[in-house]
Formats: sequence, structure tokens, C-alpha cells
Amino acid sequence: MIHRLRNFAESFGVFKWFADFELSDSAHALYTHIAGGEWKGIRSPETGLIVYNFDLVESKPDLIVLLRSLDMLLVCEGKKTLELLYNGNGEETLTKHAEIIVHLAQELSTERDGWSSEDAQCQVIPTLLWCVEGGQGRTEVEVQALVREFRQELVAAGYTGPNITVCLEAVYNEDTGVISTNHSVVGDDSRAIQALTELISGVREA
Amino acid sequence: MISTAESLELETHEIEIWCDNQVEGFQATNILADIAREQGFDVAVDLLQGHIPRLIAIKDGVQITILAFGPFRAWQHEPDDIEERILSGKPDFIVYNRSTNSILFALEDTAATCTGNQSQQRAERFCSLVRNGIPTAYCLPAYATKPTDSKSRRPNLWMPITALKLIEATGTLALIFTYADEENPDDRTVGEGFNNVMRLFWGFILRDCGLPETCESIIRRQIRYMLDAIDNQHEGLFSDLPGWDSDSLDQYEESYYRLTRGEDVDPECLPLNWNVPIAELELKENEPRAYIPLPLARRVDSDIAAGRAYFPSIKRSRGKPPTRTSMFGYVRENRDLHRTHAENWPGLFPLRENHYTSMYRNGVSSPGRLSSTVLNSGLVRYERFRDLRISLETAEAHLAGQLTNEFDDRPALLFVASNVKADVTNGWFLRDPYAGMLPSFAVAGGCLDPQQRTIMVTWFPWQTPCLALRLSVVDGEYVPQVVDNKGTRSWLSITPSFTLFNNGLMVHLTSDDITEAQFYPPLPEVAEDVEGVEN
Repeated sequence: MIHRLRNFAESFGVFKWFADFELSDSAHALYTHIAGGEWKGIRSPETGLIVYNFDLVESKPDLIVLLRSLDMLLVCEGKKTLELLYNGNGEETLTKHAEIIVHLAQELSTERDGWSSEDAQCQVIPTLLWCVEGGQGRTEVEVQALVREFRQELVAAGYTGPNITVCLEAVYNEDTGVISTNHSVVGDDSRAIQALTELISGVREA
Repeated sequence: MISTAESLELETHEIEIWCDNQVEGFQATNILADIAREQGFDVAVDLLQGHIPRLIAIKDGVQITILAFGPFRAWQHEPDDIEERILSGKPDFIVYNRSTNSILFALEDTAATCTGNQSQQRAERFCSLVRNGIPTAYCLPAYATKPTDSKSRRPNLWMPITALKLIEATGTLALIFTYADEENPDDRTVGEGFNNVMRLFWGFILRDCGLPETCESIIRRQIRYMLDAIDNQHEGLFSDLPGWDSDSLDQYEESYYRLTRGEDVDPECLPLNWNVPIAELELKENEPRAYIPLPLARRVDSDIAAGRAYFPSIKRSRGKPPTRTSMFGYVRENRDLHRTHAENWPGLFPLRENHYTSMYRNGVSSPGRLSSTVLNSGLVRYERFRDLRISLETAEAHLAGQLTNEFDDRPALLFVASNVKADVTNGWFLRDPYAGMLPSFAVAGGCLDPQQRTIMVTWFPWQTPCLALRLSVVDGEYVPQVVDNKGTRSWLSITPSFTLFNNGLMVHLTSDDITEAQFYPPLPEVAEDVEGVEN
């Protein structure tokens, strides 16, 4: 029996990546905006207790993943389509996400209960996620254009981290009910790009 | 990788977990996997179709496959029975066997800070599930901190009392579990509550598969836990808990446990019967106080002063009130909604503007803020409905001599729902936490108990009835209809009952069918030239 969705929503793409990261040995999902309850703040990977609590009105990312082996923290914004990530499509998404990244990079750079000095050293990596229904994933040209636009927003927001952006894609096939993934890492640090690409490939295969 | 039924001769079972969102379904799957592993199952967790959490557990020639689907309405194959249940409020998990079309168990699980009455916020789904025969558990923090002030808070006792009264009324399992403690608020790993509720969850799956399980010991232990919680805390929370005997906890435990097994129990052996003369109670505190002296509030004050009624709860606060500007906006929402629907409701009384004026004058609790809290406590218990009826008929002149006296000898509860917002698109009639508080207070207060038969009276001092009701012409008659949401479903679930709205409209619910309700003033007669009349 194929289990089909009534409507494919962005939350399924975010969940797909959340679950893939959780099922792998190399990542810890610390936060997701698509669930309430105990996911209302950023959680310690060891104790599960909240290490950072979002204010009710504070803008939140959709997913935060700790990659300890790379000392990196993916802070991700997701939308149902790549186009919806651009500013002006309902909200100033890229601007807002750049501000979230700068703010969280500051907040998570200090040690606290459940958040070790090693965790606090992790670099926040800007991450974007979009979904695709039916066909092929988005082209490299489309992805590069989005990342260029996002880079400008990051610089404007005062982001001082490495020039790397992780791009995550979730593809829903209505005929089979399957959600699959693609990913790419864009930037100018080839060693970091290779490490991230390999780690995320491993997550997808887990 | 474990071998599955495809490669071995296995007895197979498939169970679905329906949940509020997929992350929680995934998390529950992993917790159940850990429990199964502990119990000697070979276990694997993966994602069916790349995104549906799946647990496969195999032991002794039996394979159990568990699939988690969330959110409920996102899936084409959502079972009709589950859709029907979640219309009264969505629990976090519903365990379902598709092959027998049966709901096995439901769990409401929250990490929210259940300040006082907020623990009742989820009671509407809890009561609805249990009253529909579904074994249900509710797991919440015993201590939790609020991010705004980092203070540790704990829930009140109305939920364990509601659960025990539900067991008494239905024989269906209704259990409250808690986790965390004062030193470790919010921590699910502290205390046995979360661990035990997940073991019960797994136990109900094993039971459905015909496998050995330990549900009975968990159930019995949890009944005792609820009784102990009441025993330890009631003196700090209630004016009096009539008939409660700390030396009888063993007997109470036995009685409730037998009820969950479908056995008969002498009702006289059960505690939590509030139906005793007020004169016999040892009330710790019962100072009448109407913050906002509306006519009915003044009558209730008088009834309390005269010993005809009392506040069951002694620990209460007015909460953080909205700004004056926000409050004016909420009142305006009521006016707009009332005006819109009054056009189709000939004779609908106007809203009481003088009541709002009284709130503006008397509701100032801090600079720039307005509290809509009318009475010292939102719950008032009357020894006899007769006294409350007289107060209602006195405060609302149009009700004089109108209300039935058939319930006069029964006890009554007056519940004041003081919320003001009137955004109909978001279901602000009995919005959270009121949708849960109403059935919780009603059940805990004895509305389902044949020994008490308490009559529930709900008062909406600020809201228009048009939040809940509409009028339309059907077969030449005006017929009331409810705006269908979990608030109105919660409202209709408690009968017989009375409801008074801001404009003086009184609705006497005799059943969960609104067309059988009695209205004061009565619904209008259709004039001959009304469009849509079919003669």
C-alpha cells in the first residue's frame, strides 16, 4: 500500500532532512520549528534540555543540526519551493534568515549547561532547504543564483563566518509517495565543502 | 538489518500511530524501539517511502510493524474514526489497528508549562476520548519553568480528579502521568511518569497483538500515584475536599482499579463526592469578591456571604491582563460579530454596553492594562441549583420565572469564562484553556456522577452568543446551529447545562443536539415574508 499525502507541505521536506540527520550517527538535530512541545527551544544533544529558548515573537529557523565531527552547526530555513525563499514572496525570507544566523551564531558561541566549550566553538553554516513536487530537482544555475542573493543578505546582516552555504532539497513523488533528497554545498573553502558534501551524502545513505 | 516476514514464517501485526506532527511520531517510534529492544525484540527503525517512521520489532515468531503518520489530516488514508475523534481536540498520539478498525489507546503529551488551570487546557480531548471508550493517558510536567520569568510552576489537581471521575463514570482507562521535580523542572528523565506512559503505550500494542504485557501493573500503580497526589496537595489547593480519607487510599486504589477492569464497585466506597451541605464543610477561605460588580457577580457574592455557595479552589490568580487597547479591540470584535449576525436573528438582545463600561472602570489591575476577571475565582459551587437559578433570574430580569425548577435539588457549578476575544475564524468560543476547563470542572465536579448529578452553568460575561451560534430558517422555522469547532463540541458535551451570554441570552442544553436546546428569550417565529420560508 502506498501512503499518499493530501497536500505536500514544506514541513515534510524539513522533516525528511530532520529524520535523516537523526538516523545517522554523525549528526544531532537540536531544534525543529515544525514541532511544538519539547522542541520549543534548542536542545542539548546530551541531556535533551533546552540550551536556548526562543521568545514567542522571535523569528526561528526551521532546523538546526549539530555536525560534531566537522565542528559545524547547520542553521536552516525551509520553504515549499526555491522561489519562496527569495525576498518579496510573502516575506523577506533571506533577510530574516541572515539575521537569525547572525543572532544564533552570537548566542551559541558561549558555553552553558548542556552546551560545552567545544559546541560553542562550532561554526554556524547558513543552510537553505526547499521542496520539489513531482519532477527533477532544481538546476545548479538556479541554486547558484539563490546562494548569491543570500550571500549579500548575510554580509549585510554582519555574518563573519566562512563563505559556505549548504543547500538541501526534498523531492516528493506523488505516484510512489516517496520523498527523496538532493544536496549541494556552495562556497569558496574547497576542503570544508568536500567534508560537508561527504558527511551529508553519508546521512542520505544511512 | 533484521529479517522480516517476507523471508521467514512470522505472525505479523501492523499498528499505526496517528499523531499531531511527524517529529513527535518519529520520536515516539524511537522510544518504543528502545522499550522493545529492552524486552528482547530484534528492532529496526527506518523511514518507509523515505519519510514515514517505521519500527519493525520481532520476537518469538511474531513481527510487529509500527508506522507513524502525522499530522493527522495530511494523509489521504486518515481513518474516519480518528477524524471524528480529533474534531473534539487533537491528542498527540492515537494508536490504531486498521485491520480491526479499532483505536487502542490515546496519549496527550505536553511539555508546556502547565501553570495551575493550564493543565486543564487539554482536558476537552482527554474527556472526549475517554467518554468514547478509548483508554487515554495524559502526561505533563509536575514542575516546569516559564521562559518569561524562569519560575518553576506546577499543575493543579483538577486533572487527576477529572481522570478518576471519568473512570468512575465510564469504566474506561483515564490516567495522568507526570515527570520532572522541583530541582529538575521540565526534565522527562526525572521521575517515572514519562517512562511509564510510554511503557503503557507499548503495552497496549502488545495487548492488541495478543502478546504478554504489563499494562495492569502500570495502571494500578498510576491510579495510586494520582490518589497520592490528591492526598498530598489537596489541603493547599481546595477549600475542603469532602469525605476524603487519607487512611482509605488502599481501598480507593482497589476500587478504581476494579472499575478499569469492568467490575462493579459500590459507589459509596469512592471518594470525591462534593455533594455535602456547605454547613458541614471546613472552608479555609471563602471571602466573596466580585472584581467587576456585574449584577450576577453581585448576586454570587451575596450567595457566598450567605453560605449558599463557595469557591472550591483557594489558590488562584488573575493572570496577566491585556493592554487597554487590546481589550477595546476584543470588545469591538464582539460588537462587530453581534451586529453582523443580529440581522439574521430577529429579537436578539443587544450586547450589554454597561457591562463593558463596568469592566473598563473596575478591571484596571495594573497601569495600562485591563483584566476581564469577574470573580475572585472562576468556579463557584452551589449546594443547590435552586439558589443559583434564583440569582440568575434576579440578575437577568427577563429570566424571572422562566427557568425550569426540575433541577432545584441538585448541586450546581457556576463556571465563569472571562475571555473577551471574538475572532470567530479561529474558534474563540471556549478558546484554550476554557475548552478543556469546562468539561474538566464539570466531570470533576460530579456532572457524570449519579450520586451528585451536578448541574453546570457557564457564564460568558463578555462574549456574544454569535461566537457559538447561528440562526437559519429551515422548513419555516428558525433553527439554531452551532459553529462547529472543538470549543462548541466541548460545550455540547456537558448536559444538562445552562449557558448565559453577555447579552442575556440563556441556553438550556438538554442534549448534545443544539436543536433540542431551550432558549431564553425563545427563538423568534418566522414572519410570512421571510425569504427562504418553505410552506
